[in-house]
Amino acid sequence: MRIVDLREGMVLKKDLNSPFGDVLLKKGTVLNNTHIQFFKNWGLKELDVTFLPRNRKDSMERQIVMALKTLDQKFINYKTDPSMAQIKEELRQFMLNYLEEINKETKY
Amino acid sequence: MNDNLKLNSGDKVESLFGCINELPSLSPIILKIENVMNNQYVSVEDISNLISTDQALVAKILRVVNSGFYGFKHKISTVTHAITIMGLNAIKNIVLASEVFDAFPIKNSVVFDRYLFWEHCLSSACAARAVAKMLKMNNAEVVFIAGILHDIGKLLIAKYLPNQLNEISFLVIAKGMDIIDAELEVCGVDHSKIGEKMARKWFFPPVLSDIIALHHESIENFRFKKELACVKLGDFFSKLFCFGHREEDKIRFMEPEVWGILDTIPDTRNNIYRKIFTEMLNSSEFLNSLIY
Repeated sequence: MRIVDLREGMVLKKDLNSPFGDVLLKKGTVLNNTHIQFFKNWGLKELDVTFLPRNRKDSMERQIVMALKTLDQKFINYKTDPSMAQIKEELRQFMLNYLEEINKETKY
Repeated sequence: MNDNLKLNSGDKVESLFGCINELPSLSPIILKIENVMNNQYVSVEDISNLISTDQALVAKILRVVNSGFYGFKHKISTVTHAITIMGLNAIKNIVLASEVFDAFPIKNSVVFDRYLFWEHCLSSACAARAVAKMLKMNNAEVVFIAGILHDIGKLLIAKYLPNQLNEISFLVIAKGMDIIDAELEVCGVDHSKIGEKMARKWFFPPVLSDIIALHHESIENFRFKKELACVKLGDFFSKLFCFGHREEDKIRFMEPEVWGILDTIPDTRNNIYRKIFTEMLNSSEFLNSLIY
């Protein structure tokens, strides 16, 4: 990704090495504005980062996991209603699929 | 019988409002903007001049417009530029949302979490707008603002009736009561009626005050059926995905008629849910730009 497109919260995909080979930043580092300013000052042009900013992926995951956990509890008043039961199962399926998808997308 | 009941609840709203010495007032700039926009020959310059009379408002608009929620590449530094890019209606909504937000400076307490409250409002608004957009409704922005304001009655209770709020929260948390039943028991009216009164006082357009008044009732025989259905769906999804709610909150019954509106969207269910969910995630950025 080009340096100008970097944003806070993105995650380094590989170790960042100096021209002499020592590690400047380890992979998995969450970038902040100071880092990005440094890259610009160093004159770097491109850098490998994961596509999803980490905080967004985390909040996605957190939200869905929480929703899955509390799903039954939320529908507890409508146990016998067939239309509500159908809605519930449909949503559960969606959440499971989505969770799987998020995890696949960010695995390197 | 029915009429009696209505009168009764109306009286109770009145008497509740009687305890409140001073209701918050919306800044007059909103009414002015509304008036100016009704004039079909209005220019962007007129509006931006009007907004520029309130420096705090200008700052807030620019902050929201430059937030990650809209994700523009370049920094937007003037109101005129913001209006040109976003359109008048969107700007009007930002103004309305931020004014309502400011009208109730409530401190956090055990029984009222300001951040959670607004998170619920904004996430359901974003979900409602997503549904409205998928339905290709032309007033999706109205649906958005209705979603933000639908629970305004709760704010009023939190701000002006703290003792009642304590009782209500006790009933809800300790006894597991539904919040509407608890409100009915303590105040005699629920937050939708209180919100409606507030909306009328502030001269909100009828579509907004009606949605606020009826957002817990059946959509049947309602003139803004589609809009209300969107708001209800937004409310539902926000609760379902735990945005701005305690985990043990239960969802309300979903009428088949409201749910059926999703069937009219020409897309698979999975895609619909996904769109709604990602929209709701964006809402937190909007919220942060309003708060800080």
